[in-house]
Amino acid sequence: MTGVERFELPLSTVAAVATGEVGPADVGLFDAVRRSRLLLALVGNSTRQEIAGRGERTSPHARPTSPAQAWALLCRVQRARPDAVDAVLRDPMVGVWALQLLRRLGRGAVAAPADPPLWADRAMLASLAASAAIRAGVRCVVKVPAREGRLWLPTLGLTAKMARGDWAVVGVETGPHGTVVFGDSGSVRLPDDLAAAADGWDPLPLAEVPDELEGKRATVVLDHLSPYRDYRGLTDPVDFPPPLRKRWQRDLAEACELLRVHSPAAHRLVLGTVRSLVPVSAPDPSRPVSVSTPDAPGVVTMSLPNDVPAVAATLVHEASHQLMACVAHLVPLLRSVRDGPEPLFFAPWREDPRPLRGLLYGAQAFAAVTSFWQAYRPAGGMRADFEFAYHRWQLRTALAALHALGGLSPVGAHMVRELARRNTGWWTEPVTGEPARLAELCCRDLTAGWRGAHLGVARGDADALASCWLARRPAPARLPSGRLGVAAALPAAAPSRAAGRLWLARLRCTDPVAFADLYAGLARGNVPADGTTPAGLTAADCALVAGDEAEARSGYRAAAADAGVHAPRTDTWTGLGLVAAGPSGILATRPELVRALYAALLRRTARPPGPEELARWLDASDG
Amino acid sequence: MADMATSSWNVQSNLPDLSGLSLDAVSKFDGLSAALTDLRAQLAHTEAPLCQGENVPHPLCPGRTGLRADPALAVDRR
Repeated sequence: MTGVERFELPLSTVAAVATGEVGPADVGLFDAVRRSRLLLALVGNSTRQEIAGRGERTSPHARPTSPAQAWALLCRVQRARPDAVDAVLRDPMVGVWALQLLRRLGRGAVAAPADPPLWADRAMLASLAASAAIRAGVRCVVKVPAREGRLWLPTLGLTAKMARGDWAVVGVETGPHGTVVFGDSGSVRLPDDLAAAADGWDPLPLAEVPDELEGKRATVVLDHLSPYRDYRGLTDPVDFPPPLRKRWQRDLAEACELLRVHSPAAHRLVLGTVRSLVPVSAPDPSRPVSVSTPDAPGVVTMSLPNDVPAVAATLVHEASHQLMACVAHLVPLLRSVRDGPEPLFFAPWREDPRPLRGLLYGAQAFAAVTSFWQAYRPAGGMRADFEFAYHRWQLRTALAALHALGGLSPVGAHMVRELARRNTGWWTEPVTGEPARLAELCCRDLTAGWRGAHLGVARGDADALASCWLARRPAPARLPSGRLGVAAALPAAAPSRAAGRLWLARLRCTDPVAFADLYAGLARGNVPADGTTPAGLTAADCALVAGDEAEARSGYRAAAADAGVHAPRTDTWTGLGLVAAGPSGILATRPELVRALYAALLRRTARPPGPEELARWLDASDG
Repeated sequence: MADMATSSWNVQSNLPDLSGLSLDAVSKFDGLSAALTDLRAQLAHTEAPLCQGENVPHPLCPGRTGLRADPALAVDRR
């Protein structure tokens, strides 16, 4: 029997997580917590009593190596070559499998549609043992579940189909002279160099990135093969063509070098937490994907951003989530939620309302992103100035909300205080000219889109406003409030155009010539159809981003006029509100109010006035 | 919150630090059962993914789901 210490979370680490200024001890804690949870899950999953009465116990095909036998093999390999087992246990996909299985066993093995059969899920421990034995050159024979007949060997790769059926069992014979995998429809001898592709063998590709010390290299896995890599459920391998793979490898290496030079703490954070990237495609150039899952420490699912600084910022963002999730595994950051629906709030980086947890995690991640862009400002030109100004607004808005809301645990509240205290210098740091204008525009755009989509005005209040209008009275001094949970009066454009305009702002900062070409093309009616430009952008959007107010107003007015009375284009209303401050500004600052009034008038008249007329009337109120 | 006024304080967690243990030792440590119960309780509250946006990942190479074709391989069991 062995006594062990419990983790202690230093408040200095909480402060470091808040600011992104992490040291080796902070990222070391991440690794120790990840490994401890994994080991617990492995023990829990391999304990015999865990499966008593929990669904089917064995394969309908050949019997796989039992978890107890696989565990014994792993122990044997570790005694001979601890580094081989360590390497396997460091594969984040092993953690994903182990924690998901422990959860599944804990809830009574109720299978979700994408779950593997329980016998296969449990017997997957043999796959870990096989990988460790192969790495160590330890002689053994194991039988391992293989989805679609393909054997997944963590840290190594995936074989071609060796057996028939959705879930088969394949044999692995390994020893000092090599490895053979065999099933009922084929077999393959793995190449001596397991990092090299061969007939029947696809190795996990790696990206080499610069380590902390100049000249040294670290590696990140580009995982397009592992069945447990998709946080939504078990998934098939996908092709990763060499040109695309090379682009990922090149951009990741350049992004890490950029971090190493400009933001060493962020570089340490990324290399200390991110082990596997799961490459995916984005639905649209303006809608990049990047996801971390608390139960998958070390895994980041992401699409490849357009440029290297954006890759760096994405890595910093996700690495921050990884570290924050680690802290949350040690101590709660939120107080227990009372029964009933979770309250939702405006998170100034999302178009949908988010719970308190999202607001806290987002604030912490965007603090690190803001810090990166601030550090990159001397070299990053207009783009870095813009990003710094934009993200500090996000952070400041979120912090104001977090200060006002209850619900944080003492550690969560401490983190918020540290976030606010350590970053006060950012609020007054000058950003001027075009980057400042664009950042302010994008902040207003996101807020307007969110309010228009999610806030509603009580129907009685909207009807009272309509009565005032119809009676030709001034708007009341106190205007009704928009509320979350009250249905919006008019449907919002989906998806919002704020993401597209944000993409345009970034293009204007990084490539003014490409921006001008796109603007000119859209003005001529040429809409790019090659997938490189966000869908739905118009010349008016370009004009707005370019600061050409008259042209933007004209374009949005024309689009608004083209829409039917009963199907108004509220996205163009937002555009009109964004064009400039003044009476129409309320279309952007309180779009829900204009929309509620319009809908109320539509219930009582055949043809309500246009949005700008309503906005002018509302703006004359003191409310 | 006064106890958090200084960053020299530590907060105790329930999670045992197993990072230095071998696999042989990890299944025998004191407190395994309680630690497993805690971890299961944590996992019972499924943690939603943390996403930068509300965007859903698409397959890497749409329409290209196959890797290399099934091989016709000679068995070699050296």
